[in-house]
This record gives sequence, C-alpha cells and structure tokens, in this order.
Amino acid sequence: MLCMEVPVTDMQHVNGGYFLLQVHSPAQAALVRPGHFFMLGMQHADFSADPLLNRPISVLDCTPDDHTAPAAIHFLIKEAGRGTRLLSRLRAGDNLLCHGPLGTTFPEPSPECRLILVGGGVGIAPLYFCARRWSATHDMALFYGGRSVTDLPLQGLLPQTGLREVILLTEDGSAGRRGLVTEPLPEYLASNPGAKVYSCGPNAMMEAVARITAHVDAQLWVSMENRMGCGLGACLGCVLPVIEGDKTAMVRICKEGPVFRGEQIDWKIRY
Amino acid sequence: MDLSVQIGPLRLKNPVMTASGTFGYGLEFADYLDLNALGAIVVKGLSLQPRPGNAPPRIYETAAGMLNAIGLQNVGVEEFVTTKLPALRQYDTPIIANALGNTIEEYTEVCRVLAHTEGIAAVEINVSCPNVKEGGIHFATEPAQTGRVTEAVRRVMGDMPLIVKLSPNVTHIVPFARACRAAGADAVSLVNTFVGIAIDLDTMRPRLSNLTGGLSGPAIKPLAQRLVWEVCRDVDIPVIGIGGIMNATDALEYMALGAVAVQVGTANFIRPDAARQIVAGMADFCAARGITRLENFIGAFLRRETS
Ligand SMILES: Cc1cc2nc3c(=O)[nH]c(=O)nc-3n(C[C@H](O)[C@H](O)[C@H](O)COP(=O)(O)OP(=O)(O)OC[C@H]3O[C@@H](n4cnc5c(N)ncnc54)[C@H](O)[C@@H]3O)c2cc1C
Ligand SMILES: Cc1cc2nc3c(=O)[nH]c(=O)nc-3n(C[C@H](O)[C@H](O)[C@H](O)COP(=O)(O)O)c2cc1C
Ligand code: FES
Repeated sequence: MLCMEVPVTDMQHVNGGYFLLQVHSPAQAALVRPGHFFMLGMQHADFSADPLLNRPISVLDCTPDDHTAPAAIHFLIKEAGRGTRLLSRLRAGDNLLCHGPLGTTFPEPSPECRLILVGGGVGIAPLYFCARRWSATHDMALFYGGRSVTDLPLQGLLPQTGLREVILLTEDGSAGRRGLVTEPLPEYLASNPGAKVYSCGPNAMMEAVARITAHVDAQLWVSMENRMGCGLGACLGCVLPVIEGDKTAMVRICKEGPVFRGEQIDWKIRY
Repeated sequence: MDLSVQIGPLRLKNPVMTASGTFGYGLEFADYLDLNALGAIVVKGLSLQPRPGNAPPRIYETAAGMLNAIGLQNVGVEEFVTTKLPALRQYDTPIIANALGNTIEEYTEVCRVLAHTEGIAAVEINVSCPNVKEGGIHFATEPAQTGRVTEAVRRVMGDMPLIVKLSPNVTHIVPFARACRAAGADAVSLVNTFVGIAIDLDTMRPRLSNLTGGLSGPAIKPLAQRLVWEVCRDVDIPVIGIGGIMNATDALEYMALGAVAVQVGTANFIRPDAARQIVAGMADFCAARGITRLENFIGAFLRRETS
C-alpha cells in the first residue's frame, strides 16, 4: 500500500447525490483488485484539520490510460455527510490524498465457477469491479436493488460490464422488478448449485443473503463496513466480532476484511 | 545539524516518537516510512493477559479530533515479546513499551517482563486505568496513587528508563509530575486523551458503545500545551509533549514550551509517514534558523518568558 497525493482526473455527478471520482495513480492502480478500498484524504482545498480522518471508499474500477498498464482508479461515492460532501467538490486537476489499496479482496473465481453478485445502493462499487474483471471469462449474474431508481446510481453503466444477466429490483417499482433484491435469490441459487455469491450493501440485505445461502449449495463472501480511523490496522477502531473456528474475536475490518466469508459474520450484533 | 535529545538516561537520534495506540506494534507502518528515521517507537499498551477491548463502535470523529474507546485491546505482554518484538528489534530505533494494569501487581508483573527483555529501550506506564482494588479510582487521578504505582514499577525495572504517561483529566497537573519525580521516574509524557462524550440526538444513544471516549487530535493541542508548559515551568523532570501534533511546527511549539521530545499520535492515521515528515520539517526549521543543536532550542519560549 502507498499513501500519496495524486491528481484528480475526472468528476461526474450522477443522480441522487452520487458522484464518480477518478484519479490518476499508476503505482497504486497496479496493485488494485476487486474488493480493495482506499482511504481518501480531507485536506485538499485549503489545509484544514476538520474534517480530520480519511474516508474509506471502495474501488469501482481500475482502467488503463492511453498505454496499456492500469493507471486510473475510479470511485463511486454517495454524499453521506461532511467528508463525502467535501470530496464531491473536487475537480479535475485538484490533488487528493489517496492511501491504498487496502484490505482483503474477493477471491479470484476458478474458471468453471458461476459467480452471483448481490448489491444494494452504493454497495454496487466493488461488485461492478468484479463484473468488469471477470465477466468476459465467467458466467456471472448481478442482482442489484434499492428503494427507488435513484438508489441505483450505476444503472446506466451496467451494460458496459459485459454481464450476461442483470436483475434490477426496486422497492417502489420505479426501476426493474418491484421487491427486495433478495426475493428472487432462493430460486435462482437452487437452479445454480455450487455458485459463489459476492455481496455488498446494507447490513440487513447481506444478512438476508446469508440466511438464504445457508440453506443452499452456495458459498458467500460479504464486504463489511465500519467506522475507520487509520485503514491500515493500527488503531483497532474498526473491529467487529468475527467468528473464527469455534471462537468469536474482535477483528479489524480494514485488515482482516472488509471481505469475509458470510458465515464468519455474527449478524445479531447491532452497532 | 544535531537533532538528538536526551530523556533522562535515554539518548534519541531525534525527538520524534510515535504515540502508544496510534502506531500498532510498529511493523504495520514499515511500508510507509523508514522506521529507522524515528526517534523512538512507542507500541500499543500491553497488559499481563490479552484484552479483547470494547464493543463497536469504538471511534467517532468530532471537530478537528476524534473520540476513541478502544478499551486497551492488546495481545498481552508475553505474546508481544515472542511474536512482535523480534521483527521490531531489527531496527536501529529504540522501542518503548507501554504498560498498563488494573492493580499495582499487574503493572509490576508487566514491567518485570519488559525489564528483562532484550530490545526494549524503556517502559512508559499508562496510569489512566482504574485501580480495581481501590474501588476503580484511576491511578491517574490522585498524585499519591500515581506515585505509588510509579514507585512499585521503579523497583522492578532495574536500570531501565521509566516514563510515566499522565492523564490530562485532573485539576492540577503539577503535583502528579512531582509525585512521579519523587518516585524515581526518568520522565513524564503528557498528555493522554481528554475524556469526552458524543451523542446522537435522533436516537438518544451514545456515539460510542462505551459512552465515554478519549479525545485526541488537533482539537486538544492548546489544552495539552498548557499542561506541558505548567510542568516544564515548575517541575525538574524531562517532559515528552503529546497532543494534536500534525506537523513540525506543532512539535516545535511543544519543544519551545520545554518538552525534550514529542509523540505523534492521531496524525499517523491520516498520513502514515507523518512522524517522518515531522523529523524532516524539524531539520528544515533548524537549517532556516541557523540552529546547530536542536537541544539548545528546548524551552526557548520559557526563557523568553522569564527574561
Ligand atoms: C470498506 C469500506 C468501503 C466503503 N466504500 C464506499 C464506497 O465505495 N462509496 C461510498 O459512497 N461509501 C463507501 N463507504 C462508506 C463511506 O466510507 C462513508 O459513507 C463515509 O465515510 C461517510 O463520511 P462523511 O464524512 O460523508 O459522513 P459523516 O457521517 O459526517 O462521517 C463521520 C464519520 O463517520 C464515518 N462513517 C460514517 N459512515 C460510515 C460508514 N458507513 N462506513 C465507514 N465509516 C463511516 C466517517 O468515515 C467519518 O469518520 C465505505 C465504507 C467502508 C468501511
Ligand atoms: C485509537 C487510539 C488508541 C490509543 N491507545 C493508547 C494506549 O493504548 N496507551 C496509551 O498510553 N495511550 C493511548 N492513546 C493515546 C495516545 O497515545 C496520545 O496520548 C493521544 O492520542 C494524544 O495525542 P494525539 O492528539 O497526537 O493523538 C491512544 C490514542 C488513540 C487515538
Ligand atoms: S481502521 Fe484502524 S485498525 Fe482498522
């Protein structure tokens, strides 16, 4: 991992308070895999100590520039508070403190493996990256849901992922089918035994996915969130209770995670 | 130019250390900076037995600072010595262990292990812990308690330098520093975090599972500098300044107020190479001011004040 100031090369506002941020950093891009995140700095514009801590943001995509090596790192960010609002004001040419790539990644699927992605809201980011990396070589499907069409910021970009199957669901029916993203899953998994499921989104959604995969022949990986101080394993601020063998331990989301096996998560914990 | 400083019996190549609990066990940062460039590394607080720490959420950002209630999660002193220290020892930088306990016996047991371990340059005791044998009153909130634990630890430490890390959550800091000096401490480090609270008005729940947490970061710098200034002015003991140091200017302010060295904490979270940058900034400062020995700069503000 590297911590450096890199230039912002593009900023696009999407609907519903989401934006796409792109930075140029060949050294970091060379290391990025689906599931990785970065800690993005707050000290651009004028130097200020407030807000203070870097914000954890997943990698949405990593693309080559005019040469062939990866160089551009893309993020999809939802305006959620002061820090993300500050990030939304970045413009091409600004410098941004980028620390990463950090954390664990979604496992590289074996060639014959069927991959099912289940995402909610901004949780689509690491799954989009999985699709971009592996859709050409793997049989993959995406289930993507939110309350309403404005909660599916990447909808318009999904065709360029090369996914064969994209199932959109909204609770109000404003895009795709009406319903929760988990509703079609039991049937789908039953007819696709042995699949790997990668999920990222609100905890309640991932918990529902875990309950479904527990009863079928499927392996689940989830990407977890928590407040973070350092992102590199030093502050112990980001821990969650994680089941390891027959014990539950306080485990760092930034280091041992954010990607965990579904059955390692104690969903009963509320925090 | 000479950046080296003396803390009691300990000679450091420069005055910049990393603060306990903000630099892991050191190795986490080896990718980001040359650990050999630091004055010293203070590792995460160690107890006799491993501790699981508090339930999440453990941190909450506040204006120019953060509250933490990690709950002193650590691997325990034995595990540290056998699995973490060997790799750390390879560096040419003094390793300072930070020790804690809930009884005087726990402090002395932890310190006895550390005093007999090769590769530990000094021990810093964190007295901001409840004394479970005396109704949970903190070792840090009565000078006599601080003195008693310091004295007991001093006895088991042999020649190893002993630093006592004081809590800022007291009415008068000076009697605590005096008690440490009288009990044989080689230096005091101040400050630890300020106790704070943050709540969520919508849910009427605390932001931290532990309710209270320790405030750190730039928000505490003026408060911490006042305490450092008072101790440096009134007590004859080396002081290590801590609190909200983000850059060389902040660090040099502490030294002008009389601190012989500094510790960098929360800044490590934002820029993992912050401590290295601060060393470089100090060298630039000395070059620009024609200072050949940084040690001569210590207390510059105090001298101006009394002249
Ligand atoms: C591994 C990981 C990957 C993430 N990926 C993305 C992504 O790709 N796109 C995106 O929009 N968001 C992502 N998030 C969530 C994002 O980090 C938070 O929305 C953001 O930190 C909120 O900051 P703020 O200052 O705008 O909000 P505030 O509410 O003002 O934040 C205050 C503090 O809380 C922390 N915080 C608040 N919500 C969260 C949260 N859900 N997770 C972690 N910390 C939080 C902030 O870091 C900050 O320290 C991710 C979180 C994690 C842990
Ligand atoms: C997440 C976190 C964990 C800490 N853990 C310890 C600890 O284990 N022992 C200790 O003596 N101080 C601990 N501290 C206090 C710091 O060492 C330091 O005194 C304090 O953060 C003030 O410095 P700063 O403003 O530069 O961060 C911790 C601080 C933070 C933010
Ligand atoms: S955020 Fe600091 S240990 Fe994970």
